[in-house]
Amino acid sequence: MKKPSNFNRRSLFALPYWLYMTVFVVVPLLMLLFFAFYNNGHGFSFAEVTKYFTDSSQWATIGRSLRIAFLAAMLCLCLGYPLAYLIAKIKSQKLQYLTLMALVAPMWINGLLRTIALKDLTTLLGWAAGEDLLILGLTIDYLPFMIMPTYLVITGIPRSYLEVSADLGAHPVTTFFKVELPLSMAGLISGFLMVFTPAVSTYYMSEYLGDQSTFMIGEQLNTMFIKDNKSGAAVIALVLLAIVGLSVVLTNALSRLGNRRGGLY
Amino acid sequence: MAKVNNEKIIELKNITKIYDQEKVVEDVSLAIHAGDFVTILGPSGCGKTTLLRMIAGFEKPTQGTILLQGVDVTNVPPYKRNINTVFQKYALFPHLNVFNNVAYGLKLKKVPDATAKKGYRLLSTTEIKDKVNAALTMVDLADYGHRDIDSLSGGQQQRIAIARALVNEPKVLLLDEPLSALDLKMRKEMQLELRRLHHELGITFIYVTHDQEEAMTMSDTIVVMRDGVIQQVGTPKKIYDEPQNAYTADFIGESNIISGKMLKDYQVEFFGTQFACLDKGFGKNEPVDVVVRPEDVKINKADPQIAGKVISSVFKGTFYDLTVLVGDYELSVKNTRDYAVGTPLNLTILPDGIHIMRKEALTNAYHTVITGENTVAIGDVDFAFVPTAGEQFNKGDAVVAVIDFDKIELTDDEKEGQIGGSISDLIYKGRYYQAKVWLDNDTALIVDTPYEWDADDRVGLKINQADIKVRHDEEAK
Repeated sequence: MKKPSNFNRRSLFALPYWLYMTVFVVVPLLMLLFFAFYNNGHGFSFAEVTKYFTDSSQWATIGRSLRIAFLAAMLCLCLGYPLAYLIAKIKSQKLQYLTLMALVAPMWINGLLRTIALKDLTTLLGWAAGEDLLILGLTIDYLPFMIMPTYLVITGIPRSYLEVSADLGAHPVTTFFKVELPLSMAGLISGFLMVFTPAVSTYYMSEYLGDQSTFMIGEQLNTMFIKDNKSGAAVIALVLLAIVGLSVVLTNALSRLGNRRGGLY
Repeated sequence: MAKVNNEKIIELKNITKIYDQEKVVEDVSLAIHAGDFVTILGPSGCGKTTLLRMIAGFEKPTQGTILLQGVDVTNVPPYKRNINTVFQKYALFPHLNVFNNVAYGLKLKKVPDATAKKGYRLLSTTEIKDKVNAALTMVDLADYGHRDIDSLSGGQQQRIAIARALVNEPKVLLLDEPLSALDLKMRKEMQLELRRLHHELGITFIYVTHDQEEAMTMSDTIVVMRDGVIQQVGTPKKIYDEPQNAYTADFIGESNIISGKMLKDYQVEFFGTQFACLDKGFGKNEPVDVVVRPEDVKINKADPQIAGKVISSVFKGTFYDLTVLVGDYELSVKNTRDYAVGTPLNLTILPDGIHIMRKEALTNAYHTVITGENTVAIGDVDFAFVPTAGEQFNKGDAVVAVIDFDKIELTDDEKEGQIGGSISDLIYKGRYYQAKVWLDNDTALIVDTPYEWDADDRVGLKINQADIKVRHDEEAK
């Protein structure tokens, strides 16, 4: 039996969410598209888009941003995964949480403050601003985003899998590479994305820790706003959206090769 | 019948395992012969799984040694033991398909090879493929190699887990309640299947279960465990026919356990009647536990020994489960004919239907210390007692407090008793139940109680001052 009236009444509860989605997701996206092709009030044209994509320096900025974010994400992965693994293997549950807290606690401090503090510290140590420092800063800043999902995935691997592996003749090192690492893949991928996504569009980090040679998309966006070039800004925002969207699709495709469970994306 | 020879493949010597100051396994010694199907049987928490995990190498015993083919493997890690395990929840690797799950152990296997530089080589791809396919065929899943683990049913997953263990040709296969997650029909099928595999391969199976029927069906040898201690080791038939104590009798199959008295060799008295039996070697008039299986009570035969009255009858498919009141004892009787409630019956028990067991203890002999003037510690509580004339007790003296089973009263409300405890097991003895009650300091008292309690029930214990008899502990000196 169909009860259409009942269904309608219940769907009313979804209204606030529809409203929210429309106002904060759909409309802004449409506005982005509108501004990108409206050419700062000169009517509909592809001028801004063409200008952006024919400018080789813009391509260089995209490439640079991708490279810096990728290196930072890889560094986070190389540091964060072993750290998360070691924490997950601590016997005392209390000590596990304490260590995890200690690593996540810096995130409670305002990001800008942290960046300025890091800048001051490195100046004191005599390190010059530039790509190396920027990558280091991004790594330090986003490390917790790598540790959390990987930690969750490692602690989620049932102990019986490790016991079966040992039972079948695998040394603990073999077990790590044949069982734990493959089963951590989902966490590694979501950790990678959680670092890469904000890093690729960072603004204040490159502003404080980088120099002219590290000009990134985020700064470019800022320049557009300073110049009051709304259409230019909209084009860059769309490019960023595409980069993030593509990286999610790409990594998800990769993860389908490995394990399907766990992770946050 | 699989070949059983006298080679001891596994030997446990005085194994004790302590977790958080609790003895999970206590001084277990056991020899397992090559080719045997051994079942370790006991209720949950009796230490059987811990024992298995120590044989596999996942846990190290706190004390004692484990020998595998005469070689001490107590401290050898699991990956160096030629033993494979089938886990309760299968634990198939979710990131590998069926073929690669089964091939896991083979890919790591080192085969001795004199021509190779290191003296060993790995198996070739074709060798692995052949062995995996043979193992899959053995468990009737020949064409399932490419399948994902999630696409298999519980029974199929179990078969894969068995194939994954057996493909490595282990000397010993350990099985930790492998059928407990399957439904009854599938379980019966797998029991036969395991029995067949054991028969065909001739390797040693060590099987852990809490299901006495499963143990009876499959094993050559059953090891009955309780509270971390082995109660009895023997063939299923021997354990059924000649249980060593009331606990085993009660755990293995249905039984009537009746308090009786051994008048002399081959002569026992219970229900106020004398019976001929096949047992001897007891003291004159020694109090004993008598086990009578329900199917051994015969109804209305030529010379009846006792009379009773039917108080209930339940049809069980192939027989009726009758409860017959004999005096004030509720005797369980199996019979193919139905009798209406209230029917008077004449009963006969033939000598081979009677099995006599020594009573585990007749009274609690509780080893403890004097805590003050005429007070003694029971659990963590001080109890006052009346000293026998002429005895002198000082604080700290090691003593034995003797309390009869029926002189302790159990109360529902823990606070009503002088001390609290939890029921660990309960044996019906006709007029009463005999319960083992663990106090919170890990000591136990045996209590005869008219009420039926559940395992792990919290109870209060009431003991009268006059019923605690204290004497010096001669052993402690």
